[in-house]
Amino acid sequence: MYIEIKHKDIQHAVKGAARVVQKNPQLPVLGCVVLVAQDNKVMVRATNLEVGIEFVLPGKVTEEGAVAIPAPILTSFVGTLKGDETLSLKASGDIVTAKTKVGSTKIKTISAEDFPDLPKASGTTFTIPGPKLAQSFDSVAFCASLSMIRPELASIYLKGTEEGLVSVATDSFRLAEKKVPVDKSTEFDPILVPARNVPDIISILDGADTVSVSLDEHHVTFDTGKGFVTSRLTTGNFPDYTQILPKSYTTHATILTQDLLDALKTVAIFSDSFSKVTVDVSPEGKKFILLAQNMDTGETVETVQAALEGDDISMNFNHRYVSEVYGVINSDSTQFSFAGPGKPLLIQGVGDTTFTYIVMPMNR
Amino acid sequence: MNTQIDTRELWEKILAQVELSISSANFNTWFKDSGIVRIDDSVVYIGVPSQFFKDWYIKKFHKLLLQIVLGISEDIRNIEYIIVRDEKRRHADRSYKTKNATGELPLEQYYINKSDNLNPRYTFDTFVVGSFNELAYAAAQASVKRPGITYNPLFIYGDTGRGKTHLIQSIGNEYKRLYPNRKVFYLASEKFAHEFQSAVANGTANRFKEKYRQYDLLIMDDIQFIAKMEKTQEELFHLFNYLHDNNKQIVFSSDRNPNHIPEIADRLQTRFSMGMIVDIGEPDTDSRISILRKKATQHGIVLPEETIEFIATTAKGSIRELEGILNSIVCQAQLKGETPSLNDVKHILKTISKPQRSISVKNIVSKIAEFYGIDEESIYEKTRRREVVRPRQVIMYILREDFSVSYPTIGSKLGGRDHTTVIHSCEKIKRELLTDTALGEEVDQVRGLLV
Repeated sequence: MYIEIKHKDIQHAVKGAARVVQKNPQLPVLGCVVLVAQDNKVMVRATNLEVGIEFVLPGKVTEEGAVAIPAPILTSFVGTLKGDETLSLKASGDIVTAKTKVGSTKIKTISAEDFPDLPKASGTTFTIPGPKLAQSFDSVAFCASLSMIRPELASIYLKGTEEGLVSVATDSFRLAEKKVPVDKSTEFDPILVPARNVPDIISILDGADTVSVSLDEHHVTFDTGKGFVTSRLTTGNFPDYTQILPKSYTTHATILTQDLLDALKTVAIFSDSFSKVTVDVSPEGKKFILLAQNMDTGETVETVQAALEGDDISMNFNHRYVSEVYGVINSDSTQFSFAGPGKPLLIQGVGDTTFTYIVMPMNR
Repeated sequence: MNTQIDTRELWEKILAQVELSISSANFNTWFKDSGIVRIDDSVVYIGVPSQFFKDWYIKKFHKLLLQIVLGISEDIRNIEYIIVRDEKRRHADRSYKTKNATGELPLEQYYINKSDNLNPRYTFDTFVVGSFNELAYAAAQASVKRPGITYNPLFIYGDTGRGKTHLIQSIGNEYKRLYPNRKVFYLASEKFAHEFQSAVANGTANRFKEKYRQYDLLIMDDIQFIAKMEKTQEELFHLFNYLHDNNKQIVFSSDRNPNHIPEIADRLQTRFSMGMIVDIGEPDTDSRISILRKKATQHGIVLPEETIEFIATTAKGSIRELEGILNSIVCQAQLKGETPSLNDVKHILKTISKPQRSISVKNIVSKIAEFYGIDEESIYEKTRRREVVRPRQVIMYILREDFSVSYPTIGSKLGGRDHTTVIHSCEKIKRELLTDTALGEEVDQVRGLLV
């Protein structure tokens, strides 16, 4: 194998591919990123047998071939490359020689023969705008459960409807739903994408205008032309989340997002080991108060300016569940809608109805 | 067609051969999660976890597998690969929770109150009072009505499954109800020890001390677990003094009388004794009946009188075991949709009852001999040395009283003595126990050893 590629291109591809690679696999080649030169194209591949990813890079192929290089070594090495220069890679035996303008490096490789083929889902195929798909995943991914006890909750629910893409994730304590309108909508049945594979999918979507999505019973493939990623789908039924969205609300509060975040930051310091903050809303007394109390460190009460209506209510929340959503809500002001004691709280950005977030209160 | 071929057996035979043909890394990566799904019409269907596997099997292992399979069974013509859903995992999830995934969720399941550790299920209302525990119950009531004054500390002991935890948690819950502004804390002594040790290791011992000194009612369960932990005992001693001096109520429980817990410092033992020590004995049949009836009502099923009586008299276990038996009856009742008959119950009891506890005579002899610091052999010998005679009599007494061994058997087991000798010894100890308190303590301690 003898290839020449731009620093920037290989850096991007190796970073994306290396993320997939599992640490210390039993089969050494699965701990590698594989470089393939074929048909005048350079492919960078990696898999953990749940996800397979391939980046296609522009580059000059002088001699075809394939090498597998342990992911940590390759990642660190390409991380040191600088400038808009060209890197040449030449394999001979189990050594690959990497030449830059200033240096020459010999890296030990592993035979790529045992590296499995990366499958592609073979069912229905349709296209979606890349940025919209990335937005769908990005907006809800933080809510997915980290535990694998219930695989369907450790997944992101994605559905194509008439209005566009609908994505949902929940860990059963909070739930996020994002609707992304798409110009030319595509309808497809809901799929469950394992949440831990989502960063890999997003890495391939980076910079792609349209992606072609293929689905079969067990897999989904996202192909951008500059690479593709295939992920296993979670088999299981996502809970009927529409049922748990509150039907009516008793209290509404509209707050400046920045004010709320500042207050949350303060109360977070004094929340107890369960991260509990109390939200005390009194439209009659014109008060919106956050308070936290910790036996060991102290307590704090923060008043936030707010426009209020409805009944008085006081509820406890995990402050992380509240503040985390502001990674996704960008509106200047935000609305809290309370459905009553023990019922979930709805949080939305004012003027943004595409994103819905509900969080369960803590009981006393 | 080839249903006779056991799929599992076949897969194991295949694996055994595959393992020889490929590297162990390859084998572990590709074959660990696969298996034969079915054999149909001379075709073996191998289930694999994902498309990655399927493609690789077809490309790399198909020839090898086919060769092996043909070698094992001539009836098979081909192998197909299918991706199997993770059925097994799914199955486990079902039982976890099926309906209503988010909404009114796990948060609500945290049944135990975090700030005081009390389980709201344990209240005086659900506590069944009988002759075996009425003293403990009355003491518990009194300690709630006049906390810190009447019985401080209150020490409740009894064998496992007699309702100690229920009773002391009830104290906590009732106290909380009566004095909502005061602080209650319940914990097991093992947790106390663990927390203390990590506080010392992290250099936060002061914070630890303060934390426990703020409580108005401290309930510590299973105190016997801090035996041998000297530092923890010392800490508990100081904590005890502080709380007691400030008239804060303290409640302990243990599986035996505090004075019989070896390796608990004397200064703690005497402090345990300064309030009130009550024991919860074995529930009599009447109490067992009323416990069963109450629990059955809680489960929402009505058992016929004869069934309840049968369980109460036959199942000679702790209350916890009664509850277990009742649970399986309730489960059966729900499965079948009808109340089980007496015969069904008899059948259930047969399958879950455990064998009677039995302790060999030899075991008892060696323990008691060790207690008195004499040679075990000398018990069986015909010697009449004073230091041997007394322990031998105590052994006979305990075998007779606690384990109901017959007089002749005791005699023959202890070196072939006449049963009249045994009767005489037992009578003698019994007589002396009435007047000699030192002997009484000795016997109690010996019993402590045999628990």
